Amino acid sequence: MDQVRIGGFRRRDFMKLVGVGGASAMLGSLGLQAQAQAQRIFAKDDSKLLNIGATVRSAKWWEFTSYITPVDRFFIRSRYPVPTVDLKAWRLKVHGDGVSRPFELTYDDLLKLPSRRAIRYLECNGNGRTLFWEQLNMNVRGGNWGLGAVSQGEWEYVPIGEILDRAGLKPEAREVLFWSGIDGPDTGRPLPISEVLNRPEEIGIAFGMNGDPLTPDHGFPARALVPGWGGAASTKWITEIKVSTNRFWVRMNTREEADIGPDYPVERPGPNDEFRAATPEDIRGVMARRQNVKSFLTLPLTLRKSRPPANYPLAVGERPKISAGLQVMRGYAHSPFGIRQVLYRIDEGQWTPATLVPPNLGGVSWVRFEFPWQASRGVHVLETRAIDRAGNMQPFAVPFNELGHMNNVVPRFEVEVV
Amino acid sequence: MTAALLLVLSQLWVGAQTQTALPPQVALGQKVYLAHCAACHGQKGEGGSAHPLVGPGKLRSYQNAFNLYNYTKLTMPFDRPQSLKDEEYWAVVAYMLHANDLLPKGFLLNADNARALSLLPAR
Repeated sequence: MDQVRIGGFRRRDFMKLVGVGGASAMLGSLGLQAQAQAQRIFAKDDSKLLNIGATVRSAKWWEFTSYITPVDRFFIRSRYPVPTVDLKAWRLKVHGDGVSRPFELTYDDLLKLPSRRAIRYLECNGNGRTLFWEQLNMNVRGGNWGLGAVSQGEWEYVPIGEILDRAGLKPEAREVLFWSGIDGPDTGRPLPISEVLNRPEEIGIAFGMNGDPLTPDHGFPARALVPGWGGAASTKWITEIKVSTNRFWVRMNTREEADIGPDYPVERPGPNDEFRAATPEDIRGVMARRQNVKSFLTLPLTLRKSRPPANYPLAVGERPKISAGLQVMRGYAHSPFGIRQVLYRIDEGQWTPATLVPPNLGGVSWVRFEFPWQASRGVHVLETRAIDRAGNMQPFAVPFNELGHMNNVVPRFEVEVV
Repeated sequence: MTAALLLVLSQLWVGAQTQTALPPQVALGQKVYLAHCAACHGQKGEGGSAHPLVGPGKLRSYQNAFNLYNYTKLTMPFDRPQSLKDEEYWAVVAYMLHANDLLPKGFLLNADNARALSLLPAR
């Protein structure tokens, strides 16, 4: 049988590493029971985060200072309360008609595989949704993230190429499903095989974050890591990788995490596609895919048309206050293609380049920027506009989509200088 | 004649009341819903700043009524999770099921029967 080799793996190594038998972990049925026993929504202290939904916490982007986001400041987008995972029972099952050698890994097996470290930001598809309401007068649905559905971590992960080479990827494989049998009954997301083949070293199964094992809220013991795609693709608490010669339709590429609107196509399922907790009628748009270029200042947004989250520092219509005189304004910019330049302007004056603060690693990592501003008393509007290394520049308008995804318009920060 | 007409009208009125009156658990659930949930999920569960709760398949992620109860109790009300009485949680879940036509007639929802009550759409 033909096989697609995408890593540098030797099969005999695999036989040494994977000594597991065929015992099923029964994780599917464990899922909701684990959830029922977990009498908590989050495992970590969420006091440094913004409360925007029952199981969702935005980052306080105006408090960001570091290049790597500390775990307690890292945003959380979960559908269910954090599950309790029994590490002894946990398995990662790799199977499907798109591979010739299905297998299972224990946690120890996973840690013994060749791994990489990389600094990547993760961003929710809904980051910037607030700007649909505040700047574009578009009525979209979803949580009021502000600009805090993005954070950057240093991830330790097993490249997907290492895993799929062991499993014997068939040339007719079409999609890879990352699935959690622990995070409720319907959590997981597919990825086209083309993404995996293009980025076998960059996409992977992460087990470490910021120098430590993953924490419970961020997917312990292991999660998918799909840099450059909305966080939904990076399935937390992963237990299954299924490779199929057909496509997958799930909650998170149909009813949720899909771009639905008049300017977006509607995907059509094939006759042999696999549906998990979704139906053909749920498909009303296109699965949200690669993220786009964005930038923000470390200032809270003035909210007029959307309800501020419970612990937001500003009331409706309130502007952040800063002192008159010379100020250094700071911000972050990111794109799946890396950042080339960040521009800013004040009160719709000249666009001026900001100074990029090293490191600027390119790829799916963010960069900090800053610029000096002689702030005079009164109300001012500051805007930032990033240009990525593929030449994409932040626009002033984006197409409507029901769930408020992919909004990378130039953000307007109002400040009151006192 | 007038008395007879009044009698008929009053019987019709009683009949209409009987038809629309909610079972006690569902009625309590409605009260809890309006007090603690409607501000975000809408007066009739149509959604607002939070997701809609009423409509085809809106509750299916939970698979059965026990999971829905468990999730609701753990995470809601949004500003004060786990602050309601247990019977109020059961009641508000019963009300959500009622609003979605998922609660069988005469069903008193509790910990013993909730797991068997499926929220998956009949297909």
